[in-house]
Amino acid sequence: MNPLDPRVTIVWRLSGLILALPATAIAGLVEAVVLAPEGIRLFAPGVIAGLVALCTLGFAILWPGLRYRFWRWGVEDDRVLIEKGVLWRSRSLIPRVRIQHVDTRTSPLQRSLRLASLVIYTAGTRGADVEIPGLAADDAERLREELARLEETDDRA
Amino acid sequence: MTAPESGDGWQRLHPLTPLLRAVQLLYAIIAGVIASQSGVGATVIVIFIFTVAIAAWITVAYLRFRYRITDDSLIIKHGVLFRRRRVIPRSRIQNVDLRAGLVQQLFKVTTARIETAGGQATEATLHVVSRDEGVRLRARLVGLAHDTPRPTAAAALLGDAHAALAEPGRATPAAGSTVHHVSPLQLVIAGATSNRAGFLVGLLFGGDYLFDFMPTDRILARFIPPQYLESGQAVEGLVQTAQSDMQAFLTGLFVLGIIFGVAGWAVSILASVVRYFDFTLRQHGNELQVGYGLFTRREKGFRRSRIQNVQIEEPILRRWLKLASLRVQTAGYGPGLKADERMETLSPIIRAGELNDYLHAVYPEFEWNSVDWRPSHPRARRRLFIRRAFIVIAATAVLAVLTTPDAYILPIALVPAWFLAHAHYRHLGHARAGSYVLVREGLWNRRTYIVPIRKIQALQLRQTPFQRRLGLGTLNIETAGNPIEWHAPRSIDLGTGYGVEMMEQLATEVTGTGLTF
Repeated sequence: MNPLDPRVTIVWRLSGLILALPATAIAGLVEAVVLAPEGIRLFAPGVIAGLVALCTLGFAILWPGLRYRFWRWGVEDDRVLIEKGVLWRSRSLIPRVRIQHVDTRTSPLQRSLRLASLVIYTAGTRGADVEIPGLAADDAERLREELARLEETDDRA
Repeated sequence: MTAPESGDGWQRLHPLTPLLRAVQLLYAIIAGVIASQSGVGATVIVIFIFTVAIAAWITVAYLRFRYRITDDSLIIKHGVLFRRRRVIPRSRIQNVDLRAGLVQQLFKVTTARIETAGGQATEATLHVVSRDEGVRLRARLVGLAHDTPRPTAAAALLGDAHAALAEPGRATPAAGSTVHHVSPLQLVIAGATSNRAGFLVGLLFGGDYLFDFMPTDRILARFIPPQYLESGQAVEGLVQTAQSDMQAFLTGLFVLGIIFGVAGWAVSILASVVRYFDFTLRQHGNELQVGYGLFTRREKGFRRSRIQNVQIEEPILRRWLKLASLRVQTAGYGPGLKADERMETLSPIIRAGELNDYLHAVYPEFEWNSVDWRPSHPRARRRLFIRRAFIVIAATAVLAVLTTPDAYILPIALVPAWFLAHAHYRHLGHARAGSYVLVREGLWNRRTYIVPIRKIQALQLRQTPFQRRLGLGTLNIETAGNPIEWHAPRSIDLGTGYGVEMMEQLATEVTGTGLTF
């Protein structure tokens, strides 16, 4: 079983921060426009927005480290294995004969770090499409080719 | 009446199509109402223009809509402004459903829906064709004539031979025979034993309390002292009574319970009779056909080889009466459809003793009676109890905070919670039987899934933080077509090590079945 590329934590942290900003802004706005006129506040004006900022920032910085530690993936002869989850653990197994197609996907953030996501599709409906989020771009391409190759050989058989 | 046929086998829809679509002319009235604010003249003109435009649109749409069946596909060309031509390969078609509302039944026409795997909604809708044409379409698109999955045919032969050996007296269904017909009396039983009845009783109690839409207080006034009913509200009056006159309270509760019970059951029975009226299941070789419904008549056909899994549903009353209902998942229904429509009913009600015969129609080589169920891990009982205890304790805490002195009686509920947890545990289980894996769960409504290993798409072992502490996990078995997690095959609370082992074992067997779907 392999870990993800460590740089994926940078992507997660940055996207967490990008979410933390509007969350703080909304909290600030709600506090100023809705709560303040009603006289609701914690100790001093601005504390609620500050707490929201602290929590979202803390979450954005600390959580990706934990998430990374519990992420494992592996490709074996006949199956793809994925283990993930900090609190809610899951261990997925996809038999390679059931893979319909494989995509690589990159966001601008991932591209700037030369990372890519690998998405594996099956005909299943619920948790059956899985994404391996942080792979070095070259690895993702190589893996995609490898997984596609097995499909072809089986088609000929 | 047959659809007019033009050259090259292109066919039109039934000539009544524009007439049945004429309901859309109501839009002209709506437009007229909107326009009525600017005077009578404008209203008349708007209604006239809209009526002409809509009528023209309906007519042109009808004239442009053509379809034809070739050797290997269904081709449809249609469109008023944008012309579209769609080719649906026959091998991709999962099922063909015919659905006729009351008006359509009157004119002997029906709406045909063609479903393929994948996609959000129905792949193609033929609205409307004559009933005979619908049956012909279904026969040609999913029928045996062009179906060539040899392994299943061989399996069917083997299965029938096997069945004949096992029970020489039993008649195996011949091609095209009716496997099953459900009488109205059986449907009454189905409605009476459905959990929907209990749900409705609860709804009536709640509805009467919140909205007071029933004259229940007048009936109740005969049984409990009138001063408690000053609010004119039955359930609240009953609550008032409980604090002073226990005997009157119990009488009132009994009466109200009977009233709501009878009403809830009646509605549930009516719903079941209307929905499944004249339920018939037929078998044509590899094709299964079901037809049911009083006002909306549904007729569906699908290939046996396309069945992803089978679900046996046993609400608590049915379990006591040794009854069950049977449904199959055919992957044809996308998430765009209502939850009710996503699985195909194979029988609204059957005796548990008939299950084996019945399942033979779907999985000829499967033997229901020889299934050896294995329980989940014993620690599951602890988790099932803790889950219920948590709710009791939380409710106690809330009541205590609200300074209700009776709050301290509530923990007595922990005793039934313990018994319920143990009862629940007995209904968790999994089993292996030949090339099938079975899982079941549910106390109030036990669901048993039968999944052929060749249909498994992916496997997943999940652990909530509570399960992780107890070394338990839930094994999800993914097939095509079960979009909702708690309506899909899964085995709850296996020991982690055992679950992982089972997952690995199943994966190896899935690989062994190769590229089949």
